[in-house]
Amino acid sequence: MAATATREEIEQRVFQALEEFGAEPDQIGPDAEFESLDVDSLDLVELAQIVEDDYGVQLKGEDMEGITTVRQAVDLVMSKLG
Amino acid sequence: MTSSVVITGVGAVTPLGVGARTLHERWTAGQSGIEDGFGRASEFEPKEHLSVKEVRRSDRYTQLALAAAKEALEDAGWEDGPPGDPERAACVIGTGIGGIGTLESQHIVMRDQGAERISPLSIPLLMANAASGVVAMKHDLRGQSFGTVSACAAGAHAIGMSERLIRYGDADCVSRAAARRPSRRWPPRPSRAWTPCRTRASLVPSTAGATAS
Repeated sequence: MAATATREEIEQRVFQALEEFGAEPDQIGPDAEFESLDVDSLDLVELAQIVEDDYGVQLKGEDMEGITTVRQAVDLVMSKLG
Repeated sequence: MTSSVVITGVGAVTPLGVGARTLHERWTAGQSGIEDGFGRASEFEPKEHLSVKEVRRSDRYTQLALAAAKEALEDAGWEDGPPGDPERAACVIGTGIGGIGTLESQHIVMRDQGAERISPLSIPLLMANAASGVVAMKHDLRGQSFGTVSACAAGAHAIGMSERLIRYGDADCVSRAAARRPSRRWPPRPSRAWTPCRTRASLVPSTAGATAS
């Protein structure tokens, strides 16, 4: 069951995850592209697992297709939260 | 079978410390790296040698191999890549098991949370050729890359296979190593016969030794 969370909370959680993945903290922001952060498809699958654990949102592989920026990822989670 | 084969660089991460010179000095001084029956390689802190991403993307056995290989390749003067054609630079790394730490942890995840929760990094971390693949990618070794898996003989087999690759003309240069992650109690029972001379790379868990030729 999906939890409730604000956009800011989700964004901060995504930022934290990206830093754990090895992205440079000063390059992480809403408009950052995953490619420029050296975040690849395996990282995004892990990100999907984190989101599921923390917010109860299930993201499938096809959901992540075409997601290239941090903002798009946060938008996706927000849309799943309804 | 005409090529001469020479070792041009060495590296080591072992329970006796980080670095081939450290290994030699402590070994010849009669020190043992076994702590309470464990060969932990406790002086090795991955973050001191690898990037955040490298640490996340590798089992400890691969981390040991990465650090030892880096030392060996720098010792050989390969800081900027292999000498000659990278397509003819091979990487052979022996291991007893591979990423057993990842296998164990992800087995627990599967048992407790289900198969869907297994990390997508599991296979890249646990496979027995993970170390050879990661070392090859990091150092632009684009020739043959594979692991030799033969328990305590894995390191010797890696050295033997590397020599053959060069002698038979399949490669011009090879980075080879032996890496083991498990830090189980060793030896299984306390032994008065235990001496530092038995801490050879192929026997001691949590060990990585590397050479370049």
